[in-house]
Amino acid sequence: MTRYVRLIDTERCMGCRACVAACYTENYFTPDAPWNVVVEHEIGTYPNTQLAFIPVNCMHCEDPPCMTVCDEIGVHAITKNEFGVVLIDYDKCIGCKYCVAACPYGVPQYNESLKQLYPEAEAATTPYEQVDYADRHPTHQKKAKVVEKCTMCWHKLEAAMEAGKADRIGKDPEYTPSCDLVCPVQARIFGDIDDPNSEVAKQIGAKKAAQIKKEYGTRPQVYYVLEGGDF
Amino acid sequence: MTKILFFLTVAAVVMPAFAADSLDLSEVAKDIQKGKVDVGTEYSMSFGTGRFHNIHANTLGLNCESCHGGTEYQPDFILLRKYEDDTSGSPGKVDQSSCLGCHTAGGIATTLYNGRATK
Amino acid sequence: MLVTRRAFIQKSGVVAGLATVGGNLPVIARAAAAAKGRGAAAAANYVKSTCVHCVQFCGISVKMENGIIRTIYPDQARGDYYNKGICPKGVAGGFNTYNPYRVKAPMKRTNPEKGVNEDPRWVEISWDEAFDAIAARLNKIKKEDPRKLIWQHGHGKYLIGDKFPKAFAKAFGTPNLVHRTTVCEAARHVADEVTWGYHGFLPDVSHCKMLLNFGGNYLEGGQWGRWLDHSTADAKERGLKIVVVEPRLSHCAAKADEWIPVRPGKDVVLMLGMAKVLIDKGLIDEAFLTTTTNAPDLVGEDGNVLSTADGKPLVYDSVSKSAKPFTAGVMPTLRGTYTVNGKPYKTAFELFVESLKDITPAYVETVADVPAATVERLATEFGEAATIGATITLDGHVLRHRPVAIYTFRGLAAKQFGVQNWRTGLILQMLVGCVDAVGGINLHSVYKSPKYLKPSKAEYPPKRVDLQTSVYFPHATHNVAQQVALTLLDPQAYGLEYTPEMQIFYATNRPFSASEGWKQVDGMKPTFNVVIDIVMSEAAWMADIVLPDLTYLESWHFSPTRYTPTTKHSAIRQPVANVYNLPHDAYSILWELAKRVGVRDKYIENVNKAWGLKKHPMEPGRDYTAREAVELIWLEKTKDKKPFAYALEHGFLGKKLKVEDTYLKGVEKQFKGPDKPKMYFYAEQLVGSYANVKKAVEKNGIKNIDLAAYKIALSPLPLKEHAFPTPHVEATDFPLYLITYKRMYRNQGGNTALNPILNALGDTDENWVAINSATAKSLGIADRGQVVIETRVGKVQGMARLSQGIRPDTVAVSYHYGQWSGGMPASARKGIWINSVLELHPDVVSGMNSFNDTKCKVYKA
Repeated sequence: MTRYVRLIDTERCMGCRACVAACYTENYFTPDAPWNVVVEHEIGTYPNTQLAFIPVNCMHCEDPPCMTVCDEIGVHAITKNEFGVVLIDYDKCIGCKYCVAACPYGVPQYNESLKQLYPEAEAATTPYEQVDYADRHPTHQKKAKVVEKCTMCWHKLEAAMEAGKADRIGKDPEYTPSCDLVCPVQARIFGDIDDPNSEVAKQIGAKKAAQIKKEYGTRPQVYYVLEGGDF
Repeated sequence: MTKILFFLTVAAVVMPAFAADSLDLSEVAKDIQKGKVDVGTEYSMSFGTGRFHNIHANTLGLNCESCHGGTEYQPDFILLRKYEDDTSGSPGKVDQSSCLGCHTAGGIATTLYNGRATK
Repeated sequence: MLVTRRAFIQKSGVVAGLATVGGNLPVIARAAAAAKGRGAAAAANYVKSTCVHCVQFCGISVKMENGIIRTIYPDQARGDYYNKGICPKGVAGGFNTYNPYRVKAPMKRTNPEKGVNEDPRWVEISWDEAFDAIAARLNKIKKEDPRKLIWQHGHGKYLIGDKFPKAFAKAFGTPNLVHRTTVCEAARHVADEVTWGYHGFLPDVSHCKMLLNFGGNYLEGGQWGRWLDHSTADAKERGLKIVVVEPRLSHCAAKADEWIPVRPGKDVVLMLGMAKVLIDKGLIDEAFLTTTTNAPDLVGEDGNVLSTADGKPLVYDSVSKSAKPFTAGVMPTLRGTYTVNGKPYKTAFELFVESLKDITPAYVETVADVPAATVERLATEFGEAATIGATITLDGHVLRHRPVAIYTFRGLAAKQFGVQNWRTGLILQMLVGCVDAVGGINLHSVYKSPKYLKPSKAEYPPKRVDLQTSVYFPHATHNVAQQVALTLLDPQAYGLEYTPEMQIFYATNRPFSASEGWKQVDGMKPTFNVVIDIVMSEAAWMADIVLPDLTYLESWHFSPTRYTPTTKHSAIRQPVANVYNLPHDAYSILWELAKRVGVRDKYIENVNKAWGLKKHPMEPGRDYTAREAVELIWLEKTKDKKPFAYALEHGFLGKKLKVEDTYLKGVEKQFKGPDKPKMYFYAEQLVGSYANVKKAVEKNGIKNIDLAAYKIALSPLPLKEHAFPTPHVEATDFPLYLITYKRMYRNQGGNTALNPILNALGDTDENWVAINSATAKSLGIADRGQVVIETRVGKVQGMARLSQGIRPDTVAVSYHYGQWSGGMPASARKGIWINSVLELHPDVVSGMNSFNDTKCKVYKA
């Protein structure tokens, strides 16, 4: 099988948020609907203090509660494909926010209105924002009043499949999720956990990485080496 | 604050129909699932019209505080939505751990969590 | 349309159960073909270039789709030479270019009054009109006195390089070309220069076992960050111990093995205390000190080194028991007091040891608030980890193995005694002999400029408006950026023999970037100002004419790059767009101005000289486009190894250094052994510089130089007095230390404040006053409550953030927020302009602006 997973090593993460910026630019971010966030918190009391940086994006759970609840109410806007990627169909989504309520990772983003990037500008004037929906991947054809979230850069994984270059996923820029690609300290690794020779599989083992919030039994496809513990 | 007060007022009006401690929640849950209780048809979080709060607050009689905690998450809480302003007039932040009791496999409600354990 | 695509991505879809990804391809290809024209992403192409958002100069690969800058990735090929990833500024670089608030046409001020609250009443003018107006001024000045023109650049140095502006200034005839290094790290450079004859160093991270970082902030904004980040992360996994010494739990401190929250400004005492422990415990590399440094030189009571008539310093030879120059057969003695010709002399090392007498760990604890036991432990660990005497064989070379290093950037440099601060760090490293050793501190271009080891002439009157290398700043070899404004406010006070009339600012936000910022603003009032920039910065707000520039993604340049201890590379920058169809950038503006003042051929001559274009020079009598210039420079600098087409395709050409290049070309070659100059453990030239300052002051009756203060600043050895900058002594009613730092998401130029991606990364559109939770509680200050910071020079208001990651006696504010230019929208103007309340007490040795010495009060707003 092929299961794409991500390792986030928070012992390496330096909190720069390049992964957040990369997610934004790659995925036509609109304000107030981030798909990737770095949670930052202090541990301890001065002078015995530590600072933890924890990037959080969709866990692409093997048992995603968001999808379960969406199916349960008959909407079926959320799917999980055979590569493990959980996706939301904006055309099917009814904006009920049940997935928002169900996700223990706080991932789904209900996008009330598609805000332009420059708040005071008269309109979404940049050529980037004006890219026609016909020229955007479906995951980038954002809609107001629906829920959106991290797609594992599905547009890139899909392109790899289409080009017959699935073996380049996690290696080549055009076929690797952008958050993982830009990290200055290689705190993020993406690849196939079912391939024993993949870097991600090896490092998950070597670094004893684990999924977070295991009490929910969602079995995420994002693994962490976690400074500051799981809460 | 205005929104929170409004919420509490509405809750006070609709909730006396059921006093939580006098209910067998599992029975109510079954009734909801069988459609015996009218919780509306609108899938939304809207208080008063949407099924979500009709079920959890009005029918099951859960207090606001059962799900909505303080105004901020614990500093080390890991949640993507952690820093977002709640724009819906919610009376407090929600930690999904309060859902686990009923929505975990074997619980009285739809299984959202730990489903694989029973499969 | 999603439904169509989902046909093959649903969990129960047609491809479920297939064993491998490859097996799906035909199905997927068919589905994709069906979806074509219904939302398929456009095909992308990638352009290799160099990011110049800051001074890392990372290799980038710009992803273009249908001519649109979609996003920016790191250039993976550059990973072996410098950056493996890129920071959020680099990622979001497209919005540096797509920014709707860019200056899009030349603008002329019609309101003669200049000020923060004065509307410039801009009127758009044609390029011709702009050039005419500027050239008319330039021609007048050129005729009268070319020195009246000041060219200032900051980031411009990296956008087109300083060689074109320097060539222009030369051709025009003005000495006044001023870069910004004194608001960055100049004191560090000057400390290097007066110690080993050039500047720049890096820890040899791949072999290092203990790294002490004094406030270097390479994980948030510091230079060399995009190499230090991954190299230190890798090294940590191999066992490198990193100790960060600074008052704030920075990202570097967060990633370190140990954080030592030293009291602001007191690092020098901590380092001297460590030096004492090392010496007392015998953890010093005597061989290195005696063969490679001037620690054995004999120093007289006047502080001068005893020398032969032809200037050769004398040491005490343990073989002949006499004072001799260090020639073959001489064994210099490290310690002792000796009588030569009836006069007493001590070795420089002996003087240093004596100066440390009272700087015990207990004293360090009192001054720097670092526990005495920690001082002792830290020094001992450092000395032991240095494995003094050990060697290692690399590639057949037997090399000194001292795997410890000290690093810093603004942490030690951006202070009133910045030079002495980093001098102390260098001395500590000389003590354990880790300089240019494997795993130690790797110096760049050792002894490239021997003149740095000579006293300053301390000229008076000053030739330059920034007073560089004058009596005021005798070793300021990197210009004195913040001084220009102060001189302009009163040129006669500094003995300047002319009154400047015009300033051209190229991509620098000078009035926003220095301490006592309001004086910097005022300093723009007396002159006619031309600003070349991509946004309406604060400098632009004070301009008479603003000329738009192309961004780094729209223009050509032979890019600066960063070396590492084991690599170097040459790179280009190439345009991917011209969003507002601008006909000019700073490069072509210079050509146009050179023509209009009739110095084009002289300009070309100086361009050839500045870039060293010999095989591929520019010919006189014609203009060169930026692309043509970059091609010539590329061919010259890469010695024709690769054609320009290679640069266009790959963006750079890298080189991996040999072991001998890394470890044997520096102090080993230049300083080690007899009959060679030495690394200055004792900065003897500063004694001479002070004498020259004193002479000039007395001869010219200079009133605004305090000789006693200059004597302390120009001390040949660091002193405990260097831990007491002026505000620490005088501002006794201000209980808290105020320090500043850089965040990853901004620079001070103004363009990053207008980047919506960078502003949306979570608490990145605003800065705050970081205050210790206990201190805040005692002051009744709540998290995110509004507070006032009051210093002796002003007040600012902003948000407080409570933290356990800062000393209770210190508050910290990042220094690139609070823009106030009327040309920026409110979303870009949030936060605190902390530079406006910092006291300015420049380091008189280097001219360095002081950013971390101020004391303040904080109270609820």
